[in-house]
Amino acid sequence: MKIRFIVVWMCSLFPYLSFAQEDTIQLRDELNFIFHLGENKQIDDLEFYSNQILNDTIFYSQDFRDSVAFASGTLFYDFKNSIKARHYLDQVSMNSVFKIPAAYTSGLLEMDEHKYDLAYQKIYDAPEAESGILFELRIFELAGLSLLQKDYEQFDLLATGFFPEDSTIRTELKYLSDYSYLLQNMKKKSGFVAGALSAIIPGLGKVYTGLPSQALASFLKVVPLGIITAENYLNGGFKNVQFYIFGSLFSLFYIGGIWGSTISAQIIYQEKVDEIQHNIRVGLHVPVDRIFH
Amino acid sequence: MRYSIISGWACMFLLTVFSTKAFTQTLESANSLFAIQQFDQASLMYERAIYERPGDPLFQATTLLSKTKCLKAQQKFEQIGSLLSRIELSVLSDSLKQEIYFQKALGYYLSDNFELAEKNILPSFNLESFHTNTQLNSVLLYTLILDELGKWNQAHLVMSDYIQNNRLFTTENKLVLKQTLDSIYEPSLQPKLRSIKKAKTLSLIFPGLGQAYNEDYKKGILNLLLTGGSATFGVYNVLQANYITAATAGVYLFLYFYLGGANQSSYNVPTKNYIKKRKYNDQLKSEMIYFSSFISNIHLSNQP
Repeated sequence: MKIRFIVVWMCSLFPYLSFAQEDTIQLRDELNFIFHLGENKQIDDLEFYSNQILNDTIFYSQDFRDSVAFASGTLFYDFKNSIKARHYLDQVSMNSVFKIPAAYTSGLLEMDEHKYDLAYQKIYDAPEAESGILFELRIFELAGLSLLQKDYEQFDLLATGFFPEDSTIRTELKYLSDYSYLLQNMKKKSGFVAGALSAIIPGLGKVYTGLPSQALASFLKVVPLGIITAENYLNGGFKNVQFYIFGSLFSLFYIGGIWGSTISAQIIYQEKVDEIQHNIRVGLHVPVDRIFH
Repeated sequence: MRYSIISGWACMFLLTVFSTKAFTQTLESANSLFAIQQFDQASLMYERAIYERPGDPLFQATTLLSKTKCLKAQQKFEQIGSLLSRIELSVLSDSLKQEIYFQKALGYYLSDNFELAEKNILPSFNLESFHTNTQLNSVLLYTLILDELGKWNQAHLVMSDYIQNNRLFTTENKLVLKQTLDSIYEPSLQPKLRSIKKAKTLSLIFPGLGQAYNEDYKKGILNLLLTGGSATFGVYNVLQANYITAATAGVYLFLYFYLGGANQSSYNVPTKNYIKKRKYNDQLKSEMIYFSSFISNIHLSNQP
């Protein structure tokens, strides 16, 4: 009976007596508290507390701080606070088990802000897996980021002959290949032709670049001004002040229309590229969110 | 068997002691940190105390109210409402509910969210324990909220009712307070807020009239000159036989200034109204705070 009593007694006090256990219990408790702050959206407290732990390198072990950095980074990711999420995720050390999800999440947050080089570097520097889903994910993400950097050679190098076993990565990779083909074969409309067409008939250059409503607006501005200028010239000749006023306005809108048509060719091309790049970015998030979050 | 039961109870007792000690110490520590103005750390410790004592709504409510003080000291007023919304009200006493409603409404009021402030102060008046003799702060806050919403007559009525129904005041007190309040809320002093619709209609009837109604005379004259000038331009071109110019440029310019002037007069109304309201409410706020301290003094002198 006495032995049973001592066992029960020791078991109840074990967490307070054992140093190794204390570390584990403390870690679990601190993490639970961090999640409590997150659940209750106490963002200022969460930031303050995480910083306290992360800055205390004497009392808290590296593993402990890595866990806190990852937990805080993930919570800020959920709060859609990209800057703070990256700040914490980047503090996870290289040897931590959380380094891979932290690096991928932080990398994709950089990608969302169009910092493709930095995103590529973060994912490239993350610990490598030799096989399995993490290996497939790494190749897929690096291929997608190469595409965003318009490095088609690198994309082909990574994607050609790569057949992922994971169905999500396989599907998304197929989309990436389609986008790569689109980006490489998309034809840019000639700015010179667009400008020349607008010089012949105001607005025609905009029709050529695929902007019919803007073409109509340009036509309705320039042509009436031309007619008014002509009418004032016919009724008063060069002595008519209104001829100069409307003539200047006509010239301004006519030349503006030609210039607008020239640059709209470039803008339309860039808009199409932006749309494809947006789709690529969304696609790169899909497997990471599925695997890590 | 008996020993094991005893030992089990002993363990539970010790664990209870340990856990009780933990949250009590945390709360004491939070209070000490607040006293020395370490508001960030105090706020975190209050949250820690709540975390260490789950399932106790009363403790949670009182601790969150303490945390509210940290937020107020840090001027994070916009966080107070969401913080206090975590409290489970159904199990709390009326006096605590009263305090929570008041602090929530105050948080919204201080963060300029007056609609939510009104929504949160109103339930406190429906509490059974609500006594007009003691709840001056709630009544004052409600009147200040109504002032900000431009409901000055309602604010006047709320404070008048409070004075009228307060048993601690003598008839003479009530008369003096009522007269003072009437002078504060004198209708002739209230700003005359303009109507957007009326300003626009007036500008459509006669260009510049909407701006004049909004006391924006310079813009009114400018609008009248521009609209008149564009009409003259159209007529002049008809007389010069420039019919196309008159029909296109003349009509376009006239419509541009005529309709643009009407729209412009309506855009300026809210800005002008806000300036008038702000000026009046700032004056009103200081007068009402002074008035409430006057009421408090009467309360104190009349208390048995």
